[in-house]
Amino acid sequence: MRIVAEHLSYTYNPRSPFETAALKDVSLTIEEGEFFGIIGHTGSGKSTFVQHLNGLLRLPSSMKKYRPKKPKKGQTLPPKTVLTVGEFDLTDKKTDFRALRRSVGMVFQYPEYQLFAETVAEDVAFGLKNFSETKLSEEETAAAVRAALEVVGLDYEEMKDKSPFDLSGGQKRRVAIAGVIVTRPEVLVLDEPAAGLDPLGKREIMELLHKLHREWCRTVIIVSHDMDEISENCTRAAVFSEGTVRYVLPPRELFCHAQELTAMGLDVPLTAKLVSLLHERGIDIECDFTAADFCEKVLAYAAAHPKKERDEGGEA
Amino acid sequence: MICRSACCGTRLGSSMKAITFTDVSFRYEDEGPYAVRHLNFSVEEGEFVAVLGHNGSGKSTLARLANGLLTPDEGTICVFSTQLGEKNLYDVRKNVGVVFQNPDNQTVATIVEDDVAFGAENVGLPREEIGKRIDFALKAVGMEEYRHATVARLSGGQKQRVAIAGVLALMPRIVILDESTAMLDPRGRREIVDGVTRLNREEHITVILITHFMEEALLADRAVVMNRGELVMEGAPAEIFERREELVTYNLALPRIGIICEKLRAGGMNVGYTLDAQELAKEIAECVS
Repeated sequence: MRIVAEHLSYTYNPRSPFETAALKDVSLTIEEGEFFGIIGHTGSGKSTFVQHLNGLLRLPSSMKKYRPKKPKKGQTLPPKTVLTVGEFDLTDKKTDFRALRRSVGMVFQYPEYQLFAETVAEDVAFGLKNFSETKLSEEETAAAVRAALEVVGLDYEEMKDKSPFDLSGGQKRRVAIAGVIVTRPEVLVLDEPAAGLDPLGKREIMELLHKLHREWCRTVIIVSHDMDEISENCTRAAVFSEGTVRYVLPPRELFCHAQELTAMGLDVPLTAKLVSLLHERGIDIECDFTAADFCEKVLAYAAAHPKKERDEGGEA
Repeated sequence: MICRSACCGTRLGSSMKAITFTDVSFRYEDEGPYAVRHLNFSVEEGEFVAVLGHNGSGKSTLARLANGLLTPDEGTICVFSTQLGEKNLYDVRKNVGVVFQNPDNQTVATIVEDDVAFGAENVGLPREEIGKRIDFALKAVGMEEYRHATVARLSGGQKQRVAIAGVLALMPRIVILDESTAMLDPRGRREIVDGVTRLNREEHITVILITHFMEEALLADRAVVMNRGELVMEGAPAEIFERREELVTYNLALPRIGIICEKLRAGGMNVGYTLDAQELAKEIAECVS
């Protein structure tokens, strides 16, 4: 499902002292099949944007009603807001939001805090039961829960009757993710999926997301503060700042703008830092900012520019 | 300067032990595995110690034992040469402040200054004294402008600093941060680590920083690594990071810069193991013409 947003704006607490414009005229397209990253400082509007994708935040219903059909003399119509996720038109309040939520899975920050049921199987089945159109038989539910648990790397037989509160942190997070993907969403959105985990747990979660991307959900969108995570994993990334989208680029181009990103209060990946530090020393490395490629390019540079002592080989 | 007359006689001996664990064991369930096993560990007054370890290594249990939230099954814990027991628990807690992981679980009031005052009010300090301590604590964490702000409207890093201020208002001599940075973004993490480093250097408060981010341990005087409830490594942070193979066996992943150093070395480039990007760039530059 392709996600298209054009001229999307959103204001919290409109017409009150706490009025804040969280999104200002945002246009962004996420293609089907991407592993998309969303970056931004706290309060940049990234969560507000993401919450539009499954209709948790909706465009004000008045938007269509009061939109003048024809511009008055001397006036130009404000640009039309578009927000579609696949065939769902989210500007239309007649859209079937339940069907939308079935196909756009949303994993919030620290999803393990949202576990609530008595057993893992019940917890995972909750979303499935609530979002399905027809009443599912017990066998159907069990099969779907089994598949979801297995894809996140948990053993169904071992897990199903356990209390989700008796699991370790990493397992809890996997159960929570299973509870979202059990509806087989086409788009999976995750807010800070690796936050609060130790480095090993982080790596495992990112591996899981790649697996899901390959086998389960066509499109994966992650919101992250960890630039290394973005540079290592994403096909493209959007940078939010003060309610607008500043860049939508693949990481290898995005992190060439290291200075601008730093000015926005964002970090850059370690590799980008190293590239600019080396640049100051007169060494120009061009890489895609993944650790593997960076090392390869540095080694290639070293081979092409060996130290003076053993210079006789030259370019060979 | 912090006034320490409020609690415990000030004995500024040159190397007084702030906390001493002597052969401490603890388990959460009677027949369960030991969370901490025969632990011998001490921290000098004024020291900044980082405790590293993967999830479940016993590092949080260590924090909870240190201020009496948990009682050891075996062994003794001394805080400034007072042995921890039921009778002196409240006095000891005035000296040992713990900041936990989730900022949202640690704020109790709606306004920053009320939240900071909470602990101080509970120990029954006079009103003027509380006012002074709020001033001191907010200044120490760099949040004085937010004195009248609403806690709910602060960022995670700011909330966590308010939580630290709440602990500081009790003027503890030891502050333990139990993964207090785990839920924060990189900027928030830096705010906290810089803040406690300053507290340690300027106010001479003993700091125990429990974390699984190796980068954060770099500023500490000493780092210890825990694995399965035991202390397995100890030394200056730089020294610890040099022993990479060992770290990996304790399920501690190398920070990204360590991975890059390793790859470059594997490719035949003669760089050292450093955790500093500047240093690595310099070393790379030295390896090429």
